[in-house]
Amino acid sequence: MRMGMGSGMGSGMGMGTSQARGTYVQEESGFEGFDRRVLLRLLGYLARDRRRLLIAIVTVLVVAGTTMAQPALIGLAIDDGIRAGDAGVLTVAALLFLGVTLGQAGGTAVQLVVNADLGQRMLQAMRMEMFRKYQSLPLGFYDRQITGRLIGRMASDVEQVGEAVTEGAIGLVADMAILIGILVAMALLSWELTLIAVAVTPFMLLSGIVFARVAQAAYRVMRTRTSTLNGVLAESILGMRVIQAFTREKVNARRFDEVNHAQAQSQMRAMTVTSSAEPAVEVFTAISTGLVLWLGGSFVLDGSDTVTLGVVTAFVLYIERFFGPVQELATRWGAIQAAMTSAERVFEILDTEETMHDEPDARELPPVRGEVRFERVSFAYEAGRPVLHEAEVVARPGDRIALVGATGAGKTTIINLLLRFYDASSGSVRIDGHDVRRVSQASLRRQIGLVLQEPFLFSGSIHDNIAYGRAEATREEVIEVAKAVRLHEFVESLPFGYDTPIEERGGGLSTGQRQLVSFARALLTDPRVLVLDEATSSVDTQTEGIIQDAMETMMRGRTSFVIAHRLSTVRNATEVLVMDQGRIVERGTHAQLLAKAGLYYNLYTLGLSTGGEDIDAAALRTGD
Amino acid sequence: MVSAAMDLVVPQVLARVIDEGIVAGDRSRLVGLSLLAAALIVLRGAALFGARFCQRWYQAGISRQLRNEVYDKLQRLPYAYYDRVDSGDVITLAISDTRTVQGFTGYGVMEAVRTVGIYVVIVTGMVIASAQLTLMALVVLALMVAVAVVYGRVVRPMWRAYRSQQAQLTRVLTENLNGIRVVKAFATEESEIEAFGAESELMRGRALAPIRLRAKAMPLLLLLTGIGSLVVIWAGGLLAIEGSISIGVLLAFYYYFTRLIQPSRRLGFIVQQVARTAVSADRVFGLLDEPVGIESPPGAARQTNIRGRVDYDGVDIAFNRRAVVSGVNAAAGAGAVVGVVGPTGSGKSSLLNLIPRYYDAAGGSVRVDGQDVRSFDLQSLRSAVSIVPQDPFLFSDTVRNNIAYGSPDADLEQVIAAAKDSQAYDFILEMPEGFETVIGERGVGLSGGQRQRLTIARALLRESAVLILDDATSSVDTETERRIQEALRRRAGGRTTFIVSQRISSVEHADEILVVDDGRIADRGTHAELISRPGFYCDLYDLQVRHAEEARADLAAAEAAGA
Repeated sequence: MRMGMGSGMGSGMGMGTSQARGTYVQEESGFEGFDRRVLLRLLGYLARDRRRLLIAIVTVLVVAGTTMAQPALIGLAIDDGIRAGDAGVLTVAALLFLGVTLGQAGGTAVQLVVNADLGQRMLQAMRMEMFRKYQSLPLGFYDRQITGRLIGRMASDVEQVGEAVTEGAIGLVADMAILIGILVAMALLSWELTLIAVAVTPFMLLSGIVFARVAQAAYRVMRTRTSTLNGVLAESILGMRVIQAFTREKVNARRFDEVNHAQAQSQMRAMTVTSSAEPAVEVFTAISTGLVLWLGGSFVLDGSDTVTLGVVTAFVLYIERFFGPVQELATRWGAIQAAMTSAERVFEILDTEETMHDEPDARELPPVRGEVRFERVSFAYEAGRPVLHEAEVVARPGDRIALVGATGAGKTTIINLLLRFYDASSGSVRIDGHDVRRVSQASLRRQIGLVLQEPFLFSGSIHDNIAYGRAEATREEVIEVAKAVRLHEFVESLPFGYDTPIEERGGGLSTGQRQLVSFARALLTDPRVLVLDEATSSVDTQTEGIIQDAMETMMRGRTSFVIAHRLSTVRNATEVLVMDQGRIVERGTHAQLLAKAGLYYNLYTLGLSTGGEDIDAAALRTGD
Repeated sequence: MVSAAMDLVVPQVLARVIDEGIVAGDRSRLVGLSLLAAALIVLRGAALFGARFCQRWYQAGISRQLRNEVYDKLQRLPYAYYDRVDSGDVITLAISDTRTVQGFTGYGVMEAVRTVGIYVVIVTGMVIASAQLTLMALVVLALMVAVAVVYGRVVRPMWRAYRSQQAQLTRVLTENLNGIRVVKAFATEESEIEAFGAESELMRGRALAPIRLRAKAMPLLLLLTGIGSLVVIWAGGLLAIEGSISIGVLLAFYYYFTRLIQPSRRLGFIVQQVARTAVSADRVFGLLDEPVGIESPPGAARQTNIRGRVDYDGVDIAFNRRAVVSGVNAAAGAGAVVGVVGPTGSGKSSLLNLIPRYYDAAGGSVRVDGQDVRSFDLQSLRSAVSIVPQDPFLFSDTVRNNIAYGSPDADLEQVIAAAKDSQAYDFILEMPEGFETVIGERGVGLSGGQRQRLTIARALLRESAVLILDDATSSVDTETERRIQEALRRRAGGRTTFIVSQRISSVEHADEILVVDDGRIADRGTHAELISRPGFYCDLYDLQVRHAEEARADLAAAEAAGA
């Protein structure tokens, strides 16, 4: 684990410690009441796999049927076998019982596998849908989201939903089937006794509704408090170095216990509600059993035709089986409720509008020569707060455009629009005359090479990382580009050469080496247009020289846009664009701009007075 | 236990309802015994509620305690632990595994006790009803237990495999999201989806394996129960026809047996829980048993008046037995400013991390105020050292709380002063809610330079004797850096300051500059001394100054042309 996680992920994991000081109680809103649409949509996932769902339901019915047949067979054994003294009937009943039991066992086996399969397939489908969504959402979405939260949605929310739907929904069907089946079986044996047996049902339903309400609320509180707790825990782990460096252990331990205690209490409450369901059902069972024994027994004594000792026995056994599922219904309902909160979060992501998608008639961008034009391009993240005003840029194939200005001046916006990470609010960006909005995003980006300021490497070998944009590249091709950026010698010195694995987030390589890998990666796709965001933090002298050479090699013969921090870059640029507050305020070659004695001149001389090598150094405002 | 006892009594009463009431035709007994049966079942319900309630209460208590223990341990583990392990893995451990363990200790243990209780009670009841039938039933029972035990053995590694695949999937996702810009720029979304799909598919398989096994074990248990019932009814029925037992007794016996079905199902479930828990418990206890390594020595007293003199005496540092730093000697008097330069990976950070004991030296000693850091009370030592790390980590909390992170008692004025000195004040005021803006919430993003300035403010506010700036201004422009340094000098007042940097401008005013190369002090001296002799520092200076000179030349040329 590296501290680097801090900047991206850590800052946002769940809730902050001091936020937890008081606000976690207020966080318990989010999900207002029961949303039928969410439930239906969830069930829709199950309905996708009709064949398996059908098998699941059939096996559920088989199991339910066998469960119902058992008491009836025992009743038969008692009345016609034992009481009648007929060993033959008894044996037949016993054999039938064996058959039914085998059916039950087989059915249960199939049911378990099919349910789990159905559930896991659904989980898989949901995971993939989420991941696809993550891949297709525009970068603007990520600028405003916290990675940790997105991971949480995938890891815990999807899981939660999947469990609830398979266990909950299919279980619900099974329980209903058993309930109805038992009712039918009882009614067939004796409708009088059935009425007696179900006499308590209305009261039970009533208490069931009350129970469901209470349980729902309790579960929701528990779920939110649990996620608060998990958030605090995750953030603490990611920021553990800071915690220890600033000796916050005692304060944090106290805060954590507060959140922990709140969670434990909510858990207690939810569990108390759940645990009261079982005894309550037992009481209803008791009343029902008592009534059946008493009144049914009286019928038998009265010499009733339909109600025999065997029938009463069967009823006692049926009642035992009837109230089990009823009790389950309540518990399952609670679980489904808890899952609804998770489902909402999952759907919130899945429903996020993809503002950037290919036009329906988008064509593939044909191989370009590399002419780039910005025609009166403006851009605003929020309406009314434009960050780029009517930018005009013309780059002929092979031109080197250097972008200079303070952070926030609009340099990155230019690059984002060129790669179509965002769409211009007005005006158009064209490559070889093709409007970037009219071609597919993939075909556009394949012809533009991007080198980020902070090179991001993936876990995998060095070869994999260089070949990231062209997985089919041969080792020879990889070596060729590595040589071109002067990385080859270093890689060869590693124990496994190009197969040396790169650790999480490029660990094990120095900053300069990581940059060179990202150069090689961009070079391998042989793009016509190159976009470079130069690193500000300096590397050591020797590496600096290598990097400058490598950049020179890369830009040769390619149209390039560079967010410039190096003197060599601006001096070699065909055109330098000086940006300030979203406008291109000056343009020309390095020499021309200096002669102008305008903003560029000021930036430049200020940079000199502080002795920095960094053009950007002299940002007029500290507004970063 | 009461509820289990009721399981014993209820069938007996039922038997008598049938034998003495219905079969014997005694109406008054029928009513009386029916009522008794109902009352007993109610009592069983009440007992069950009691048992459940105690169990939840116990469980909630346990889980809170376990989580606090885990959290406490996490806070005490040294940096080396966090270097070694994957953060995603620790998070899974702290959240999921702890939940599994506490879930079992509460629910599982009580349930296990209850199940065993029920078994004992019911078997007793069966023996009372009919010893002959019990013997037959016991054979079936023994088989059931055997199935459960075998099942538990086999299912355990399956859960382990599932857990590790779960972690792997999270890793893949995390990496993808962190590198989403590269993914999009290289248009590799499809192959990323493919890779994720493969891992996800593997996870599906891993999740199914234990359930497939359960699908084999569960029906076997059911089947055994069914065969048991069959034996009871058939053999018992024959006995009843012979007249050696009554119908009531037979029914009571059968009722007992059906009562066994539930615990048997539970037995399967419990065995599975035990298996899952064992995997998680291994991990949780592994964490709790992890040696802390860096702790206050016993009897170390709190110290509040540390002045800040730092000495390195023949210091060696090794990671994984590989020497990173060897034989370093250096000294910084209280209030001195020491610059540290050198190539990436030369050991600069490692050296400074020894002062607050984030790591311990493998050889030699680091002393603060002449006292070995290892003999200090750890809290006192760390309170005396403030660090601005290379990677600025901020918590999802308000700006104010982030700055006051190490000094919870600081008032707003002090926070504002620190923000001004770190040149963060202006941009904080531009944020939607100023100092009360919560970092990381929707739309509130900070640039690298802004993050660095906030972490500088956090360190400044602590007013500690030693301040370490570990490449802390790499994303801050030189002009802003200059102002921060001015403020530092103003604030310094005897504070010992270490500045790690690649910029000459950051270190040129230091009292002494250490040049670290390949784990050794390659050179040392003041700026003036170092630029007068060849070496790394001189090269660095040349590079950075040559730029300035070339720039000056350009400027002169431009001015000449303009004039």
